Amino acid sequence: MHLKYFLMKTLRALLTSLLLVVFVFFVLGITWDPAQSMLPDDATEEDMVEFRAMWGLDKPLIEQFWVYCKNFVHGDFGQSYKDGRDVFEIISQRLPKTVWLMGMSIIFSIIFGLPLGIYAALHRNSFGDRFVMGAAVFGFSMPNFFLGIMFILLFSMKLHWLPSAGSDTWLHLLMPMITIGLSRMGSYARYTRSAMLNVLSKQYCITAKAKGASRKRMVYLHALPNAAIPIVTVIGTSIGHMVGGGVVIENVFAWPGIGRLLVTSVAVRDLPVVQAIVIILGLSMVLANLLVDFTYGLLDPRIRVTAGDK
Amino acid sequence: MSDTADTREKLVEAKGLYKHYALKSDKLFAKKRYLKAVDGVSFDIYKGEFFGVVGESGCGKSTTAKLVLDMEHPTKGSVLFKGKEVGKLKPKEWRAIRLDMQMIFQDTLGALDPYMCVGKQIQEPLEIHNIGDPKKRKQMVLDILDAVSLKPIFYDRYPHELSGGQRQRIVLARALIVKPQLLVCDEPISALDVSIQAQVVNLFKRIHKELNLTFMFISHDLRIVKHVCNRIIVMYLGRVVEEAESDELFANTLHPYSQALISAVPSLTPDSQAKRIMLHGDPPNPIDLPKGCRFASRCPKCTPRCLEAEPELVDMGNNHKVACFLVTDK
Amino acid sequence: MLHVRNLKVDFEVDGRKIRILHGVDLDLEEGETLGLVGESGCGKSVTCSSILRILADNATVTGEVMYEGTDLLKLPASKMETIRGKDITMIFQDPVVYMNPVKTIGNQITEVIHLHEKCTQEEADRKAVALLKQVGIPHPESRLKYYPHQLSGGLCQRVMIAMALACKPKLLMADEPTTALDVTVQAQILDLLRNLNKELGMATILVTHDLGVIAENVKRVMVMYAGVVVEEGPVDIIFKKPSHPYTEGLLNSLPKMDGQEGDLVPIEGSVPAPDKRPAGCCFGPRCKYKTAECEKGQPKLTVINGIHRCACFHPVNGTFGGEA
Repeated sequence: MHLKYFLMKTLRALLTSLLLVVFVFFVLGITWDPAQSMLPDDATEEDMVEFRAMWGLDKPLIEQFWVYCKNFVHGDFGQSYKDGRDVFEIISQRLPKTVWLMGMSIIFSIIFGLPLGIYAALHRNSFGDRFVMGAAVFGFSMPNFFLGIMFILLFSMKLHWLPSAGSDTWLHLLMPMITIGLSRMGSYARYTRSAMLNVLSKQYCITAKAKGASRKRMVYLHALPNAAIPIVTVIGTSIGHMVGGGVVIENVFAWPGIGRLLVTSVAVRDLPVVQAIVIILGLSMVLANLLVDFTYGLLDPRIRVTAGDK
Repeated sequence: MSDTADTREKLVEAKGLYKHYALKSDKLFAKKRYLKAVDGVSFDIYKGEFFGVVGESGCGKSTTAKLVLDMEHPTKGSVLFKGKEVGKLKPKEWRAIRLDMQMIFQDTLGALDPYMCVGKQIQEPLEIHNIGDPKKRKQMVLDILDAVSLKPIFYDRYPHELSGGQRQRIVLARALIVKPQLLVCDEPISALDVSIQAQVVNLFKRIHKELNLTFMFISHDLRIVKHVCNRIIVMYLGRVVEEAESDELFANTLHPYSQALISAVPSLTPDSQAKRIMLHGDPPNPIDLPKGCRFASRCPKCTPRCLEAEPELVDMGNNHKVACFLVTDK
Repeated sequence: MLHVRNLKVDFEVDGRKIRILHGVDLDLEEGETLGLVGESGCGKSVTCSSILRILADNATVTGEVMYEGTDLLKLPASKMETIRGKDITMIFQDPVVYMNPVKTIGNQITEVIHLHEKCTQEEADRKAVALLKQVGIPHPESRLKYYPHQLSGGLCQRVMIAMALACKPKLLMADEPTTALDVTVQAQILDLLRNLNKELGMATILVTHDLGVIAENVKRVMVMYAGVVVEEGPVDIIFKKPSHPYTEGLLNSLPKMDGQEGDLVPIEGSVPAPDKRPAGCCFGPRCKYKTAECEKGQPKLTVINGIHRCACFHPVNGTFGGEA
C-alpha cells in the first residue's frame, strides 16, 4: 500500500485545517467587537471594559488565540455570549441533525443520480437520455430555496401531506432531503453520463468485447470501475458544498441543524458560536476532500502503486 | 575525410550535456532519484550538414534537441551556437538567435492554432520580429508556400482542412520564413502515411540543398535517417554510443547496439529475418542505472569488463567514434 | 476456414452514412498467415473489427463472414460472445491503452479463461502463469499482481498476446501489433508471433502499414487502398513484381537500406477522404498510368496468375528489386 500518499494527504488536510482555524479566528476577531454588538446601545465605557475582561477580550489577539487553541484541543469552544451555555454542548445537539439530513440527501442523490447517468450514457441520444439530461439541468439550475418553498406550498399548504417544519419524523425529513438531493442528483447524473461515455470510448472496452465479455459485463466490470474515479471526486467535493448550501434549506424548513443555528447566532452576534460553526463547516470541506483523496488512491492503482514498485 | 571535417565551420557545439530530472520518490525519506534523460552527450553539427540522431524511446534524443534549442536548460554542460553559449545570452541576442534556430515536431495539429488561417500563422513570426511591411510579408508567405510546394490558395485554409502532409509543409514553411540557419526536426514524418513520407522527405532534401540549411534530424526510422542524413549519432539511454558519417555507419557498424538496431529494420525482401540480432527485453528506463556500460544488460556480446566501467566515445579514425570496449580495446 | 464475401461497412456520422469498406472478399485457410497492408484509413483494421463484430454502434456491416460454415454477421449477440476471445481473438496497436488500467494483469487474463471455460480460480491462475511463460514474460507468478502501467509497452503487448491465446484460438488477428513499439522490441514481438503460429497452428491475420513487416512475416498479402482490396497474392511475387500501380508506388516510395542515391519516388497527392472518393478507380487521381477507362468504375479483382489477383484495368508489370 502506498503509505506515503495517504500520509501526505492527511498532513496536508491537517495543515489546511490549522490555517482555517487561524483565518476564521483572526478575521472574526478583528472585524467584530462583541462588546459593542452584544451590549445594549446605552452601555457605558465601564460596562464595555468589564464585558471584555469577563470574556478575556482585553488581552492581545495573539494571546486570545493561544487560549482559544488550547481550549479547542480540549473540545472547549468557549461559552455563548448570549446565554452562557457551553458552545460545544449547543453544537453537539444540533450537529447530528445536520449530518443526518446531509447524509440522507447524499444517499438519495447517489441512489438516483448515478443509475440515471449510466442509463443516459448507455442510451446516448435516445429520448430517455435527452429527458434525463433535461431534467438534470432543471434540477441543478433551480435555486433550491425556491424549490423548497414550492414544495411547502404544494405538499404542506395545499395537500397537507407533509409537515413543513421540524425534524421529528421521517415525514419531516422527506422534503428538505429531496430539495437538497434534487440539484445534486442532476449534477451527479450529468457527471456520471460524461464519465461513462468517456470510459466506454476507451480502447480497453474494445478489448473486453473482443474477449467475449457481454455488454453488461463490459459496462459494469470494465467501464464502471474506471468511471468511478472522476465520479467520486465530484461527489466528494459536493459534500463540502452541500453542508454550506444546507444553511439556506435548514432555514426554509426550520430544520434544527447547525445551519439554522448559524443564522440565529449571526443575528444576535454570538461570536463563539459563529466561530465554531464556521470552523466546522470549513473542516467538513477539508474532510470531504481528504475522503476523496483516499478513495481516489484506493480506486486508482496508478496512484496506489507507482511504476517502480516491485 | 578527417581533415576536411575540421576545416568546416561548426554551427552547433554540444559540450558534455547532462539533463537530469528529479523524480518524485515513493517513500517518505528515500534518497532522491533522477531520471537521467541526457547523460554526458557531446557532438558538433557542422554548417550545411544533415545531422541525424537515432535511438529508441527514452534514449534522450528529444531532450537533446530541446537542449540545443535552449527550450530546456542543461543540468551540466553547454551548447554553443555559432561559437556563443546559448544559455548565457542576453535577451536581445537570444531573440536574434531564436530566429536562426527553428524547429518542427511530429504533432502538426498541436503545433498549429486551430482558429487562425495557416497563412496568418506563417506570417506571425515576421510580425513578432518586425520583419518587412504587411504587403511584403504576404508576398514572403506566398513565396514560402511555393517553396514547400503548396498553392497560394492554402493561405486562407485552416489546419483541420489540411491533410497531415500538408500540415507538415505549413509548419515547415512557418519555420523557414525567418530564414533560419539551423532546423531541428523531431520525428517530423513519423505521423505521416508511407506514401506521403516520401513527398516530405524529398522536400526536406530539396530545401537542404537549395537553402544550404543545417538540419538536426531526429528519428527512430533508420530507413529515412540513412536516406537523408550525412552524419549520424546513435543514442542509447542518454548517451551517444556511436557517431559516424552515414555511409560509414551503415557499411561498418561497430557498436553492438547499432548493429542490433540496424538489423531490426524489417527488410523488404520476403523471408529474410534470418540474420537478425535479437535483443532481449525493452530499453530500460534511464533511472538508477548500474555502473558499467548501460547497454550491457541487453548486449549479446557483454563481457565482465562491460559491467565494471562505462566506455567512453573513442575516435576509431575516419571520423567514426564508438563507445564500446569490444571495439576500442582491440 | 474463414470466407468473407462482399463485406461493406458504413459509419453514421452526423446523420450521414459514410462508407469505409466497399466490398472486401477474404479467404483464409487453417493455419495460414495473411497480411493486410495499407495506409491509415484504408479499412484494414475495420475489416478485422467487423469480422469480430466489435465495431462501434454507429457502424453497419453488410455482407457475409462465413466462419466454419456459419455466418458470423447473422449470429445472435450471445452466440457471438462465445466465439470472441475463444475461436477468434484480436490484439491491438497500443497495448497499454487496450488494457484496463484498474485491473491486474492476472485478473485480465483469467477473465478470458473464466468467460469460456469452467474452472476454479486456482486453475485459471495456473493457466495464466503458463501463458505468461509461453509469451516470454520473466517471473510470471509475481507479474500476475501487476497493473498495466507497471509494465513496459513490449511486456504489455506480450500480456495482450497471452490473453488472446488463453483459449487456444483458431484465428488470431493482430492489428498493427508493433506500431507503438520500438524497433528492437518489434523484432521480438514479431518473432514471438511467428513462433506461436508455428507451434499452435492457428491462422493469423497480420494488419500493418509497414511493408517490411509484411515481407518478413506472412506468405500471402492483401494490399488495401480506400476501402478496397487492390492487390492480393503471394508475398514473394508481389514484392518482386507488383501488378497494381499503388503497390508499386508504395514499394518504391520507401528508402532502401542497401544504398540508394537520389530522390525517393513518392506517390503524388493524398489518400481521398472516405466521403470524397473519386468517381471510377479509387486510386485514379494519384495513378501515373491513368487512362479514360479508369474513370468508368472501380475495377474488380481479376486473376493475374494463379492466386495473384489485382484490381486494375491496366495492371503494370512492376519491378521491385527488394533489398538484401
